[in-house]
Amino acid sequence: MIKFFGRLVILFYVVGFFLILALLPGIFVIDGIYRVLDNTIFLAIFMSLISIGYALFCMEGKRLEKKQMQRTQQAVAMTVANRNHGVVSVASFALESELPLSQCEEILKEMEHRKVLRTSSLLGKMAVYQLDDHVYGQMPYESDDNEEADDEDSEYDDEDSEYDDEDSEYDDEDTEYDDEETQELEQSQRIRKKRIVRAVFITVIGTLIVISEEQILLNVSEYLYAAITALIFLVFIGRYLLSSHRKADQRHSEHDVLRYVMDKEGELNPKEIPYYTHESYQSMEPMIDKWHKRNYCSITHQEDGGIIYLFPNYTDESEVCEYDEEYDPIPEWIDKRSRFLLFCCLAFVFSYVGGYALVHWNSLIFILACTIIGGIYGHFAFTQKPELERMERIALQVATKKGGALAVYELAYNARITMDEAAKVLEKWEQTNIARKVYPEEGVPVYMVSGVVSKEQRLSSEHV
Amino acid sequence: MIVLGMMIFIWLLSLWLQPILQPYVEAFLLSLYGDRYETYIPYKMTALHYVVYAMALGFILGLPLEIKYKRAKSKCLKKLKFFDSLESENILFILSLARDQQGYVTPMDIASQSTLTIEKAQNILSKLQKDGFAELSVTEKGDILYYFAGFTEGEE
Repeated sequence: MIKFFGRLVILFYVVGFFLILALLPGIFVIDGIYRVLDNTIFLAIFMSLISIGYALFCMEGKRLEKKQMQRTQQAVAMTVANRNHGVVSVASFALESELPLSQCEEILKEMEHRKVLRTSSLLGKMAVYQLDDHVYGQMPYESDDNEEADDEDSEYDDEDSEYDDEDSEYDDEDTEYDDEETQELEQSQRIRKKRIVRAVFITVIGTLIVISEEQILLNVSEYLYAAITALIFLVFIGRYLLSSHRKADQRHSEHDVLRYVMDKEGELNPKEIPYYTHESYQSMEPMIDKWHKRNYCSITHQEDGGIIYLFPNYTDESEVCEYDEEYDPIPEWIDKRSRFLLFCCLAFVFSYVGGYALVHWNSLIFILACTIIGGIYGHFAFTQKPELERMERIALQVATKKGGALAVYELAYNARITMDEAAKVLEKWEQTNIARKVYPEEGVPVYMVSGVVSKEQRLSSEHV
Repeated sequence: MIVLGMMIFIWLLSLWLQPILQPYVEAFLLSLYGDRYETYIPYKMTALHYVVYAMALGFILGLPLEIKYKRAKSKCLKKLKFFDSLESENILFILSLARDQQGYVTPMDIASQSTLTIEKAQNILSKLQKDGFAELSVTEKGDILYYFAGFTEGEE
């Protein structure tokens, strides 16, 4: 009995010890919360900063979302028409897309306005639209019965495929390894991001606990200097993130359209764009207008009055570099926005730490910190040399394949840059006599790169 | 929108919960700090506190949700599927029935193949007809049909 009570007492001690251990952090947490509550005005300033950053990036997000939505709506309307012998109505479109009937009507009217669809019946909600003949003729066969037909075919294919299976086993193993590697890479990146977010979050909370209103009021000017410096850095970083995102997005959009041009052997029918690319009519129109105005492509008219854009000098060798990865602008934009919000947090911390440094330490430390941050920003924002070298290397590779002739769109596609950037590189080459501009019959210039000589030309050269 | 919604929700929730929870919190703090309670925590919640903390919590809870939603929506749109703003299920069912019947449908067809009553089916069809999405058609026997364009082969 005594032994039992002895054990019970020990158990109580142990439980009590752990309870005290648990209570201590609890007290610290509550204490911390109350300190943060005391500094609500600073939290309000911080939240305002975050909200402004969030709102700025929201506008860009809305633009991307609108573009993606328009493209999907137009592509779905074209898919429905393709499945239904080139015919689409408000009802059939609504059934397939599950969008509200009134919205479907608006989308089809917009497409009719752009002459992708035409109707011989009366305009309105009961109109039946016919897809442009040229567009419909080019589309791959697609119907609801396809799945059944595919099943039947696959039975015959199964026999043949047994022989191929052995070969494909080796390929499968390779792809499995690749998948595992990419998954591991993604996971490690995700863990890294989480760690960064957690660290910044803890730093902000720590700052909110440590911050003292009295001290700041006593040294207002120092803290104000630090806050202004932090804000200037933040504006620069925000501008850099936004402009780099826009640049990357523009590059990918143009590359997407140029991939379609390559698939269509140098021709571009604007009516087909939403079906084959990730661009909508609205987003693609200014882009192609600009290309035509700057003479990167020429125009030809179809019999029915439709426009086809022609890109010069297309051959099978125009496509040198292959890009497999799928680009999705929304996750990229989310990533940039998250990064900016983290920088907002750091700016808040910096304005306090900077002010503290100005008051308590030597102001030289503050100036040194600002110089280091400015240097890092400058390094990322203005270093373009490796990019230029990459462009020039790819331009030479394409020119070599094409016997020295290089069009702007070929460089833009292979280097995955915008047409304007590609034109700038080639113009620079022209000015430095590395290439000369030649005007073929279509009137769109092609650059002849000097020094690109074939083996036959080398052997047949005359000795002087 | 998710972040903003979360902020408003938390703000309203805090306004509702604060008077209920405050006595318990104060009792707990009093037992924890004892006599020092008044001097150590001279604290009162104001409107600014509510707004600021609703904003902070709205961001902390709403932002991950918003990111997940936007990613999923973008993935869906890429696969040519729409994530939201969908038409009502009843109308979609009527349209699928119309497709199977070459565009012609009656309230009886709908009532026999769904949980909708004849009256409700009739109401939906007449609303669609009034909005201009369906046309009326009469058979030789005098039966009234509703016609949806675009489901008949060779139609233009």
